[in-house]
Amino acid sequence: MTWTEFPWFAAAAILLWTGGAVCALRSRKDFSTGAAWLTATGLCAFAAFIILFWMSLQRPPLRTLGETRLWYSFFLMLAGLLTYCRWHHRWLLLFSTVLTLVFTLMNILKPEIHDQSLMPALQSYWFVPHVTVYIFAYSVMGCAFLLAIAGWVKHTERYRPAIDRLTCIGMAFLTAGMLSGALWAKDAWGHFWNWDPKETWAAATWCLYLIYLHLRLCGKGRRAMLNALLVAGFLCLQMCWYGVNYLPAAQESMHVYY
Amino acid sequence: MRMCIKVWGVYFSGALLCQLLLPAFPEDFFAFPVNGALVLLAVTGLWVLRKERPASPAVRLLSSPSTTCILLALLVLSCLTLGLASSPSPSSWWFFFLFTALTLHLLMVFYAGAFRRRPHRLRFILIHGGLLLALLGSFAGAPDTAEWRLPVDKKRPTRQAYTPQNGKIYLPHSLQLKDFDVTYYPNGLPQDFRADLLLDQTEDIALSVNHPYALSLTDDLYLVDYEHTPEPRFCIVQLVRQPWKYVLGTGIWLLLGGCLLLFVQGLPQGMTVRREKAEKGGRP
Repeated sequence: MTWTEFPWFAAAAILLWTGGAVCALRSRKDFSTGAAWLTATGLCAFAAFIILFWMSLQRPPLRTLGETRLWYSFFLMLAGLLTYCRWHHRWLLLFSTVLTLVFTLMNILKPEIHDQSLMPALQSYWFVPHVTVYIFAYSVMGCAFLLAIAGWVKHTERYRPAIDRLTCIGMAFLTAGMLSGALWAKDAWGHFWNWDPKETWAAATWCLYLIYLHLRLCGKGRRAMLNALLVAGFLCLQMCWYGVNYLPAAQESMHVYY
Repeated sequence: MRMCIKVWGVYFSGALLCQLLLPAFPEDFFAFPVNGALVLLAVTGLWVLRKERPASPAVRLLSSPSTTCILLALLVLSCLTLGLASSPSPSSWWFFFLFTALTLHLLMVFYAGAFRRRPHRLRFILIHGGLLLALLGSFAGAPDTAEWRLPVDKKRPTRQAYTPQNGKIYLPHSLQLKDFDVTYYPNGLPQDFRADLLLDQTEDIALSVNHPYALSLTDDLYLVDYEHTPEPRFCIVQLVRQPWKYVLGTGIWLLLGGCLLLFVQGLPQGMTVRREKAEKGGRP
């Protein structure tokens, strides 16, 4: 399995997800079982590509920016589906599908250079848990961001419970990803934390979500401020994920994607 | 809130003035035992202050939720400044003031929450205690942390090491390269490399990336680089001394336990109450 076959799997998954999103929007009930099944089937198609790709590469597909986009698309739809099943926000599947479509199209239209090499520092038992946990956190925060935007546009607090829960789960995963990275860095380079550009942006992102959680815990913060924090957190997260590659400081970073 | 902003405004104005007017931050001054004494002073001093004067302005300021948000917001701004800089260095007066305030605040919050009945108390202890230890281990332990690099070859044992500033020192241990093995991918990138070394001319040790060797309780050896030729004649070994790594490591594992509980137990109690209000259409 190579990137050549990816468009077929991606097309099948996107079609199923779009079908699921349309089902959810057109359903008379709050929750459409058909939408959930269509989305889940699309996820299975996407997961099948990841598994076969992993087997053919003989290493986890987590090294390049394109490979992390693959996981992000998968986890974003998974988080969207779980949120839809729990809170029945019927438009969320459409939003998740559109965002996933953007990242999937990036992989199809602008493929990164993929090879089978895995540099020695990445050959660690921390590699898979660190990256997958982080990408899952990114996806969950992506869902929280979509809800925050919706709440902002519609001037409602209806989505706040879902945002709170997603941010709480995302924060648990974001912290776990950051800490597993620190433990790995100690094994690889001798220091838990190096203030590398990526680590610095990760710390900024983590602190922004921490402020959001603390404001919610204390019952402080106006709606606009809370939503602004989520938007800022999401933007910081994008910087941390791939934005740092374009900064001058990236020349010295140990985290640049190839 | 206004009081908090005023006090922290004055405090961080002082930090900014120190940063602008004073010479470089004297990190070496805070090396052991000074850092140990200061940590002990903070831990006991805040405990006594909280017990003896629980309503004092200092206690209220340091345990205030507004302080949490102000300090975190300042940390975000500082991180963004560092993140955009081309050669970031957190060793400065500004970060000294910021991390001191964060540590004292976290200590006071920990005292306030860990020793009273509350929902999800274990989670609170793991998260805040873990974060406190991680912060103490990295911030207070920074002056005791050091690293040196040694070019090690096959010809003769060496003790000569270099600091990051290219200062030369002699280590109490000698190292000699016995064998070096490197394999490459077809595209020329290194797949794996490992070095067999002779420590003090007596002990055989093997080093590879992600597999350091513990030289002592505080010192670890890392294989970081090698001569990039078909037959490498030397490799670069890094010696890292980090006595506070146990404090930091314990903090990280506690915090990981707290994250697990955060995921399993879900929303904190306070947020659940506000969630119900929000569901009824109220504003938080």
